[in-house]
Amino acid sequence: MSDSPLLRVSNLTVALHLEGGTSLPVRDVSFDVGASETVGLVGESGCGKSMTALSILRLIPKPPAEIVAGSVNLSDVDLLKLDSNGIRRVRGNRVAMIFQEPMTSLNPVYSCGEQIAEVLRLHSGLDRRRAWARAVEMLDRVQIPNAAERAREYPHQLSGGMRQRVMIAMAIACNPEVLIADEPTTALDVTIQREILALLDELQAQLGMGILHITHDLAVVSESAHRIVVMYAGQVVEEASVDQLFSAAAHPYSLGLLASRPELGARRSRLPVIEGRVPEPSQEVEGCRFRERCPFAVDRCTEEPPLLEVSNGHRARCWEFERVQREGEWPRVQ
Amino acid sequence: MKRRLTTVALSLMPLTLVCLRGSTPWRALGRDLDWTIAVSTALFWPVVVAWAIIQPRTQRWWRRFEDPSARWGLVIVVALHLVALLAPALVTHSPQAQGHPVFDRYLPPSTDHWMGTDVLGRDLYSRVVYGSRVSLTIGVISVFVSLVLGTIVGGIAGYRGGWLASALMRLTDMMLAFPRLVLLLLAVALFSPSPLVIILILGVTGWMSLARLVRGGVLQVISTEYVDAARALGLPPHRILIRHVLPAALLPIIAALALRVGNTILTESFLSYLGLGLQDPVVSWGMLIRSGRQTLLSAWWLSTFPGLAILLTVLGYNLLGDGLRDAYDPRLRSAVRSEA
Amino acid sequence: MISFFTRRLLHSVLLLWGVLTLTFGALHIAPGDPFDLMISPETPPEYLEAMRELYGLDAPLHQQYWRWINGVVRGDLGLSLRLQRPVRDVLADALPYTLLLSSLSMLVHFLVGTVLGVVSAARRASKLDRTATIVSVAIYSLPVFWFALMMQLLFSYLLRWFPSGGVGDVPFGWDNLGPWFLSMARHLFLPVLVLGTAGAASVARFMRASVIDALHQDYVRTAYGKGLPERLVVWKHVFRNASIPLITLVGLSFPFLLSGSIVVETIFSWPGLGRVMVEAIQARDYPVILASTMLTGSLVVLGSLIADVSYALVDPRIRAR
Repeated sequence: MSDSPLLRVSNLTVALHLEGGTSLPVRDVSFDVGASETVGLVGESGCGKSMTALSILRLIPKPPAEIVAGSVNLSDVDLLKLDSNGIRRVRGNRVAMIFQEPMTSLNPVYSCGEQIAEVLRLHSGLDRRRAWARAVEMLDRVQIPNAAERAREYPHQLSGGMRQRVMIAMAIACNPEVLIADEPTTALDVTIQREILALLDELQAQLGMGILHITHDLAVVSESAHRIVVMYAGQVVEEASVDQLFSAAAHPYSLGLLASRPELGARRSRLPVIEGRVPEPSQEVEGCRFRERCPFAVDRCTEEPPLLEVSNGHRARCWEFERVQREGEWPRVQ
Repeated sequence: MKRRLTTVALSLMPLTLVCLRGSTPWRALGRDLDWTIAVSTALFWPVVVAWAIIQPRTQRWWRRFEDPSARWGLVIVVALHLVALLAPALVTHSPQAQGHPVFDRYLPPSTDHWMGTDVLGRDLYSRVVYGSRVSLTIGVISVFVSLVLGTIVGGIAGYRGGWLASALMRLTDMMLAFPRLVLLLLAVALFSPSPLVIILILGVTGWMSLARLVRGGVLQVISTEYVDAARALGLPPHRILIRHVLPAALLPIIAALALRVGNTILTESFLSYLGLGLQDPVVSWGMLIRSGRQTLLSAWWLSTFPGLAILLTVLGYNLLGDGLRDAYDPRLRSAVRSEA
Repeated sequence: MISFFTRRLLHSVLLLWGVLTLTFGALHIAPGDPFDLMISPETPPEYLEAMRELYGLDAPLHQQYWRWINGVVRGDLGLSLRLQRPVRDVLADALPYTLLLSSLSMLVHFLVGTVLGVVSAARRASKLDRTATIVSVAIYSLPVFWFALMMQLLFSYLLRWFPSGGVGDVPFGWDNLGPWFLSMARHLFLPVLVLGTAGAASVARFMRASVIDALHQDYVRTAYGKGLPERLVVWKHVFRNASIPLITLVGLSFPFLLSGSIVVETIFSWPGLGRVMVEAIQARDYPVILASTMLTGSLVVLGSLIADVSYALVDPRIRAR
């Protein structure tokens, strides 16, 4: 962990007001992203990770969703306290974002170059011609061949991997300090996935930006991330460096996630399953939110655990983390 | 709630027939219209009930009326059909009874004549009330004719495919190339306008958009798994069409039907306004507006009230149609959904 | 790209041919021929024979059909029974008036309708949106001819602001351009107001649904994520996408405008195509009825052709096909 983190999310809580009532899809979430650091935000779909990512730039749809508590500090500015003009100057400029669906995240009626140039004109104040030249340069930088020609093409003319590269070019156009990548490779083929991940690593080395990589797939971030934040049912349940997590996971849920990864050449014929269902965001659970599915649960779990310090930079939301670490394996399925 | 509504609808049907049996003054309205009134007012209730039955069991059909616009539309439409049905009981004068040639003509609205009187001293309110029968009848029945034609053309084009389908859709395109009013004017120029002819003409010129809807619905449903499943089970094509394809395809069409009724009522009233539609002694709202257009300044009520009646009727059907369309269109419903 | 246009053009020609055939057919489906309906019993049969011969109604059907198509292609549409003038001239006189009225109304209804639709979609469920929705349903349900009468009553009879109809008697000339323009504008105001309002309501309804649809697309989130202000997101990214279906609506609004101008022209005595047609029907002037039906049909075909072509120009995805 760096001394003064670039991006510090503290105690972020998001409420969702729907017809059925109000729920809290993000509860008291805190984590840091340092310069040149990649943080993986991992959890299954519906755990609130995308909502967290969108809340950082206040992109959540406002009538149903609302940020009710917490702060998001970029250097010394609280993004949640900025006025609408202020946050606009941060978006795409100091903090940029790429999304899961490269098919639909690009506007079909504007050429790729135009969409990249738009950010540059907006934030760097370049004129039309110079913005275009820079857009072509950016496309070249994300390793798109024939960048000058590709810039004139429309999103539907490109493959999925190419489109994601265009998205990345758009995101890094203004040299952002932080890049938020929301499932950037989920919709892509496995081979393309690797290329995109390698590209992100390379760009990080060149530009020194912090990356917040959101994914449901531990394997995706296991190589590129420095630290991993695991979310479950709206809460951070474990925060650790990659090594710490893989060698000594301290929360049963992380253990379950690790165990349900298929490993090449593993002898086990069946992958273990985490029994039971995730509590709904609206559902209030007494004590630990993972308790009902947890094989390690004890009486004390009816009392909600805080994030406990496991070791330096390793924290877990579990009373029994020592036992979890000792046993170190998700109980086998009978 | 559901049972109560269904009971009301069902019990209204015999009531409809009882009212139509009577020998009340409406016989004076013109013999040609007798059967049409009977069919149209009676037709409305079965359609509502049939629609309730079509619905998949899991969805409660009255939920579709939770949208305020659909609810208000339904209230207006039902109220107007009741007015048409019970016209003899609601009028204060006979619609054809002429008043005193000097003292009763062009009387402004008063407590005795709620909407004033016309050039012959006839009570406008009573005429407007009776006019509802004509407008609703023509609207509902001609849309029904359109529906039958549209279902046949669209159903065949959607289910069969091939050259027949493309020929039928080309015909539909061709018919759509004419403004409907132009087709209608051409038709009334060629045939003499009796109520039956007007209904047929309106029906025959209005099926194209419905055919497209039916075809679209059929195509969409055909590609879903349960039709594949039915086909795999060896069900004969006509059974697939009737049991599986049509009910699902009909849902959006019912919303469109309500909108078409409103549109048809508008069109009919304009034909009547031009003097090319229905002829005396049938009373239609368009004719009433026509009779008042020369005295717009001196007897403003003659054109104003029938126009308001048309506006209310068409508004009712449009609200109903809009509300129903919003109710089944998932895009407009689930617009508010959480991310993540 | 070229093949798309040629295909589309061929389709239009085919449609046009269908329009001609359909109009021809409509005349011959009717019981008897025009002269049966037109002429009273005491008309001498020789006169009828002569008229039938003059109009070629004694020839076999396929010859009549050939002559009709041939005439249309050469621009010979026959002689008006009522006015004793070539039908072509009658239509040529009326067409500019209808085009003027419809194009101005189209301008009004697309401008007003689009702005209203986009604003109510962007401010969804606001007071403005709710009011706009209710008002547009109400306008949509309005009998246009009655609305025209009411506007006439209000603006020309009660307030006396605008003339109740006609085109005015100021002749066109380069030296009195000012007075001519003023008189035209005064006479056009009410017809355009009525026709424009009626159309604006449906455009607004359509546009609202289209924009709401586009607002939920992922690229909107991307645009916000770039730091674009809402104004730019809505009017650049959303509007461009939402207006693609609008182009279809422009093409489809031709039938509406022509129908509408029949209504409005009748009430405001505007000497356009619609009035010519209504008068021809009331006088059973068949050559004029046929020719004007055909002309409106052709205008609609032309409209949808223009719409399809501009559709392809705006949406890069169509062009590629």
